[in-house]
Amino acid sequence: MVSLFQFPAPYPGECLYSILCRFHERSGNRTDAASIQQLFDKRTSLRNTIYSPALIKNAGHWFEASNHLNQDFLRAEHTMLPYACSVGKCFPKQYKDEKGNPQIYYHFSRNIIHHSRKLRYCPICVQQQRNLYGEPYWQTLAQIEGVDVCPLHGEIYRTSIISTSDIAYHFYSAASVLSTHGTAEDIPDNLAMIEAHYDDCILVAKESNWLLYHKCLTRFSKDSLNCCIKSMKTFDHNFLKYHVEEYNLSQVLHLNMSGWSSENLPNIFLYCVEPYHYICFINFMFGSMDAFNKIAANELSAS
Amino acid sequence: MGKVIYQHTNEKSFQGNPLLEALPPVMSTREAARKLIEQPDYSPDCRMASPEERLVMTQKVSRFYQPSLKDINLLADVDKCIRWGYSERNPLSADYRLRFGAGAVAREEGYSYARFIPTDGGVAVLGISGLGKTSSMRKILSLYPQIITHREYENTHFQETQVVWLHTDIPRDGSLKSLCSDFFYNIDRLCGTDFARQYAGNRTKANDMMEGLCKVALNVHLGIWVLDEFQNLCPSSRSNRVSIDTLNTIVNLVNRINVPIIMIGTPRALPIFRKELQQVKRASSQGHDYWERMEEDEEWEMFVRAMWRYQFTAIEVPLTDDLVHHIYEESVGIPFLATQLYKLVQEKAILSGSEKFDEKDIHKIANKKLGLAKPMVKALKSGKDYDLKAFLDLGPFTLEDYQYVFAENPAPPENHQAPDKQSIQSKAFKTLIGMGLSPKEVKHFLNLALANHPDCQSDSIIAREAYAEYLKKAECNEDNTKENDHEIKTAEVAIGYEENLANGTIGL
Repeated sequence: MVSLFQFPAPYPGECLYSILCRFHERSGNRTDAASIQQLFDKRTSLRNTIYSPALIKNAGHWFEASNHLNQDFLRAEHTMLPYACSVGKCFPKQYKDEKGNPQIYYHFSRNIIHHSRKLRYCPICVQQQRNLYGEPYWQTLAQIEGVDVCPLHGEIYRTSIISTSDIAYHFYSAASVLSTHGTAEDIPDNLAMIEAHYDDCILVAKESNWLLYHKCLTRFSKDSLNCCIKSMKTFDHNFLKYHVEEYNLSQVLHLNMSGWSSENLPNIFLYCVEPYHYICFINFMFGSMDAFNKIAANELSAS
Repeated sequence: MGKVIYQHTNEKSFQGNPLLEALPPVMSTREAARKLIEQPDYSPDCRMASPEERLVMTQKVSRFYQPSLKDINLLADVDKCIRWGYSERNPLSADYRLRFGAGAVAREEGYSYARFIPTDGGVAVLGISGLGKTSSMRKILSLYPQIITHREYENTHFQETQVVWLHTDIPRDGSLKSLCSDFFYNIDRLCGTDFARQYAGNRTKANDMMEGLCKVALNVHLGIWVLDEFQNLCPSSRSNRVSIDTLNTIVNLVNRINVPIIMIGTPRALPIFRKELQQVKRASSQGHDYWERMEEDEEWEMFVRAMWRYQFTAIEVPLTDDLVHHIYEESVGIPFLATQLYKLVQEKAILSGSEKFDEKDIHKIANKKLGLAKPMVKALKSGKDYDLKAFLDLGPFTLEDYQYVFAENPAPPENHQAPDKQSIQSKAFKTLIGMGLSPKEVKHFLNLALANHPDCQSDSIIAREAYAEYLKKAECNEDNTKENDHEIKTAEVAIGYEENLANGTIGL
């Protein structure tokens, strides 16, 4: 049974936390605690709503499920779940709730969630959102680690004054935060690095956007990678040549090249590097995430 | 819960606005009259029922309702307020969020004031008690759903609750906190929220409650707010500051979030619309609707004929012109009194066993059973100024009177003859007594006004100036604990006046 008297329609690319902030504004509730109580029936931290779909399990009473809005839609379109699954940083686990119904819990690995990270935004996207909807919102893509520029406008993401630790029990909507603070002054700390590797950053941003909103046929795993690399010898040769020519990739990857071998590659990517490293590597190997996805799907289905 | 049906309209500024498209379509005059009529079922066979049963049935007379032209006009005004009030508050438009969203609240300048939106503030309905203002308003409001729960609009998620109208009474003390509490309790009752617990606690400051009220009214997309008993906001010695805060809140609602206000009150509310309170006048931008008693004319006859149908005596009493006249005489054109009288005379006839009645019975019942209203009826019958002004809820304020008294530079009425000073003083005295001042206060402020305007020939101007001085003093004196037990009286003032006349306190 729906118990909330209003719930906003999500905007495209909006993260779950932002949707809940807009709910709080429209609820008329006097305090953040009152809104949290209405949403979750208890005091609950909102930090993970930037990334994780974990709290969507409470959405049964938020709205009436329909073709336009339901829990699966929220998970797929407004959390980092598709991205995290694609890069192997999210592991579904089954459990049973109080009533004995089977549920899935998505466990995010530690290096995809950054609790001291400031919320970020693209200033041009903010302006467009104001023109289109009358208010800006926090985008999921802008909060992903390693995505430093906007794939649509090429603008370097600005950092707001709100960090993921601030939002634990408070609603800071983009409309209120970005209205009272300038949009030009929030320069990121790693500006020099981004400018130095701007092309890689654009690549990572575009591919991350693709991963976030496309249903990947395969998620990254040892099997998917191994079956795609037909000739390890050729790969070794090409990769080293690429590296020896001092392509930017080596700096972005921060890999220690001594002791490297193609046989260690899957383990390296599974346990040692960030998702954006993985994206760069796949681009090097297969040209794009899309191409890798199709090849891996074919190879796996054939085997 | 039924699915909301959205009806597209021809008016371009209403299109694409789910709040408007969910409302019932605009009605024609005939359709409106048909919907407003309330005719309890009746059959001549009921005369065969036992006296006890017929006594119960007489209550149907009270439930009978026949709309008049002023009801239809009021419906048109209310409809305009609701629709045009929503036309500038389309929640799907970017402009709405720019003006009312969190960003607009947080910024000190920018989008929210980028475009001037003229507001359709509301309507003021004033008239003496018993004319049916509240009943009419309730009937009109019943033609609209009070609450609409949206789930989906044009294949997109649109989960909003829309409160089309809210009808509350201004608290007797005119206090802002009481008004806000009433508001929150009503919204909670309708929407299942808990705003009263959040906002209406004992420790909550009035300003916070006011802010909360504006926020909640915006979020529930309040269509119109009908404020009854508006005269309770009339500045008095008891509650000047309180009333002004409440007035400011009401005006805030209109100015900030474009919620039209319908104000219903008695003539005692007229001072609220004085020129200094321009913002309140603006809040009634659809105008003032002053309801008079019915005249003894065709409309009155039609009303009585329609009412006469609900007769439950065993013997049929046909309606004659004499009876129409006598009912008018006793009810002085107030529909409520007429229906009550008709019901009571029938009850008497049934109880006594005579099962019929005539003009004499009507007068007897009026004297015996309508005793509480008798001084008021007497005053209305007499039509004398001093009698009527003793009853603050009555006229004789016509619109012309109001305009003349409160206009910037009033022109003297036609056929004006320069009155003598005694006459000016006595007339002004009577006016001020009728507005609620004690004789002591009247004497003091009247002397002040006369001293400031020694050459003034108009008693109305003198009365106005004296009243202005009175209000000024009351505003300065926040801890006015002066005894003013004389200030608002009803029948007692007439007696007090006669005593004052007799003992020389006042002179003619």
